[in-house]
Amino acid sequence: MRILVLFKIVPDLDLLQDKEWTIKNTLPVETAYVKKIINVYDESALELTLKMADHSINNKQQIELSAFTIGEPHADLFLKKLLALGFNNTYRVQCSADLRFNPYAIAYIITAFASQYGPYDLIAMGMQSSDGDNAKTALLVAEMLTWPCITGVTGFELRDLDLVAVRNINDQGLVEQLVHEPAVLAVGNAPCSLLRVPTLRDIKSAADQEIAIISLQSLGCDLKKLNRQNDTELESLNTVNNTRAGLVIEGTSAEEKARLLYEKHLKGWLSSR
Amino acid sequence: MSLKKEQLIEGLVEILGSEKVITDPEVLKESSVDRFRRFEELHGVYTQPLPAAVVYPQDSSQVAAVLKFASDKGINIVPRTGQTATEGGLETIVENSVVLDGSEMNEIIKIDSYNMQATCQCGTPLQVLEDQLREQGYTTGHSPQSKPLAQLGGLVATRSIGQFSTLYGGIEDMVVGLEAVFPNGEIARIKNVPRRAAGPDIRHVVIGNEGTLCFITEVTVKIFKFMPENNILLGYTLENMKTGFEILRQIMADGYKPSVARLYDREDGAYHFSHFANDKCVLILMAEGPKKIAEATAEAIEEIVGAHTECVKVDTPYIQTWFDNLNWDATDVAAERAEILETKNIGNTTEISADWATINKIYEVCIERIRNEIPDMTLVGGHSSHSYINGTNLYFVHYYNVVDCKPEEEILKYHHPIKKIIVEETIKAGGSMCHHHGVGKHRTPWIKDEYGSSYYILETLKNAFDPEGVMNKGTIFPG
Ligand SMILES: Cc1cc2nc3c(=O)[nH]c(=O)nc-3n(C[C@H](O)[C@H](O)[C@H](O)COP(=O)(O)OP(=O)(O)OC[C@H]3O[C@@H](n4cnc5c(N)ncnc54)[C@H](O)[C@@H]3O)c2cc1C
Repeated sequence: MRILVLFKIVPDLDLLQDKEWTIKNTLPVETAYVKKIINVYDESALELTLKMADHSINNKQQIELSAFTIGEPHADLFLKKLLALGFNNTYRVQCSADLRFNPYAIAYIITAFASQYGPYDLIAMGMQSSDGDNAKTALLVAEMLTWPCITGVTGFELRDLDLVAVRNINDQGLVEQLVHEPAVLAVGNAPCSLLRVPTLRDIKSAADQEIAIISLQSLGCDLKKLNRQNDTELESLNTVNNTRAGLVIEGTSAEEKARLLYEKHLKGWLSSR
Repeated sequence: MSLKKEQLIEGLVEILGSEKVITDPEVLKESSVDRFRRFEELHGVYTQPLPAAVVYPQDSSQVAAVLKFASDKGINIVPRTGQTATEGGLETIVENSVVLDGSEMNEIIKIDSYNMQATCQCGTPLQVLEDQLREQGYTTGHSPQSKPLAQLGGLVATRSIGQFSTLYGGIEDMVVGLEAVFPNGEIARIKNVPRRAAGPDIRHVVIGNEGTLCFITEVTVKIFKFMPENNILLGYTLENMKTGFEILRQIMADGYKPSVARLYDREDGAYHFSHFANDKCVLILMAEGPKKIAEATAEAIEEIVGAHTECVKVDTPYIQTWFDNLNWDATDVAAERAEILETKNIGNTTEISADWATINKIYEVCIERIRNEIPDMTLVGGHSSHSYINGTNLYFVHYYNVVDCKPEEEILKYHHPIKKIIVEETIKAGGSMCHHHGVGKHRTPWIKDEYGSSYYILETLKNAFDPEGVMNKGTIFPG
């Protein structure tokens, strides 16, 4: 089975101070100076895929793992790490354009890549990224490939040669479904959210493996055209007020504090529900 | 100990009242360890004897009464304040120990901006003092990474040091006077004077005692004018640590005092600065103080670094964002715990110091040995973060995946062997095995090697001030 995992490198927005969230006209917040990380949902997709591979090795199933990103050379550090963790192939489409608000172009490039380098049986990725927040890419890729797409995925594993058990959260709650490949899986709030860490030995043994750098041209993608086709335009930015309040309940004992908590804060709220 | 546990608790309740004597089993479990055993703790495994109680005195006389009681009855006391200890100083290795927690003695007693000093009780969080001072245009100049969590008592008891130490010094350069309570119940005050030559400096009996000689109840520290508008942050990438050490040496030897002077190797640099380091070492310096001094310091640094062609200047905002996020608060600790549980990857640190001629040799041999001898390592690197006229420190950072072992075996399989390599290589080369985290309980096997013939002085202090051996057994002095 050939699995392609898509990921994006994003600035770690948690590191920005309040003062840096300044909005000047429609200029995005300056994030160039911030440390980069793998987008959190993509990180879950990568780890879930590795877990599936661990499982399949135990069951003697053949899995080939490929990781793919679109961006600049700073992503190579992460691709190297994925090679050390057991990904068989890593690809980066060289692109320095700001495509944060152009999910159509991203989906187009991914589809062009998958068609040229495929066939793949499964494509996994995060459901949205922290800097574009479009939550559209997975659906657009599925549409362009005419594959089914499952969103809100929290886990998946190989059941049979071409049968994948996928858990996801939808309106009915948590459901598990058996999916025949091919499919696009958009990973959401998965309980496992952190990528494992390669050992120095893993890093050393993967040192000779190359990252394939691909040009947009070789995929037949014309950036100007893709930008023209974008149906999303950044019009304005607003600050969302996320401030929270805290309250210290004073009391001489735990019992008294619990009583005050109930009487002053919980009772009214509970009875209004 | 001749007392039964029930009698011990009765005695404590008599001194402090029942509200201040905590025997909740969950609290006792958490209070039997510190950060050193967090892998065990995270997995709900507690290997140390649980303390009989955690107690919260409200003033020095209550501290004195508890200590006298403990001394008379042979009860082991583990002092604590902010609970950020990293080396096992808070482990309760004796049955029915009592954890003496000073965190409710947290009053800022006086900010004396004319005499440039501030007096606080031991449980004052440094962040709280620093915030109040900054509102008035002052600073303590003390900025350990644990500033949001650590408290004055513990900071003094461990001889802590902060990120601006190259200008302001370590805590030992900041403490003007203090109050400490000894196990016989004696309350001793060391007065606040600019300097004196009336015999040995007895502040140093208290500073760094790690709760093994006395309990610190009050501290007076120097304060400085806070002028962040003059700060000039400089950053460079460079090829190797040797050049970096040489640059630091030159800056110090030429008499300049940047507040921040940090040199990261490639591995540690990649961890902190993946957004610009590009597989290079990273050098960060900050000039601060009055405008003219800051400017002159920055100019001199640029000149010294400029003579080394391998150094490439980095735009300040790349470093500023990192710098703004350097300190650890409760959220970071919680996030780290979740990460360890999920990935089974854990990182620890070991900090040493040595003179300029030796430091790079220690760095190279330790890194090489850890890489080759310890299994499952995911990162081994380090940085120098505190420089002096005659040498610098090295803060080794070691991360590993915990593989094929029970939570309680993690320390034996990984952490101790790593510490052993660093400590033994450092002592062999003539450096010090502890730069600022203290000895705790896990570096005591080497304490005699660390001191050599001067161990006589250290041991005599213990015998004199804690003859019954009730103060934090197993810390600094082998158990
Ligand atoms: C994330 C993190 C970052 C850190 N960064 C730094 C750093 O930059 N620089 C640095 O120097 N250290 C650092 N440390 C180590 C630690 O913060 C310091 O050792 C600090 O000084 C401990 O203060 P505390 O109040 O937390 O003391 P605790 O952890 O409560 O106690 C530390 C030791 O002091 C003793 N003790 C505590 N209170 C008293 C008292 N009143 N009287 C006598 N003995 C007492 C205890 O028995 C124990 O041995 C860091 C720790 C963490 C977890």
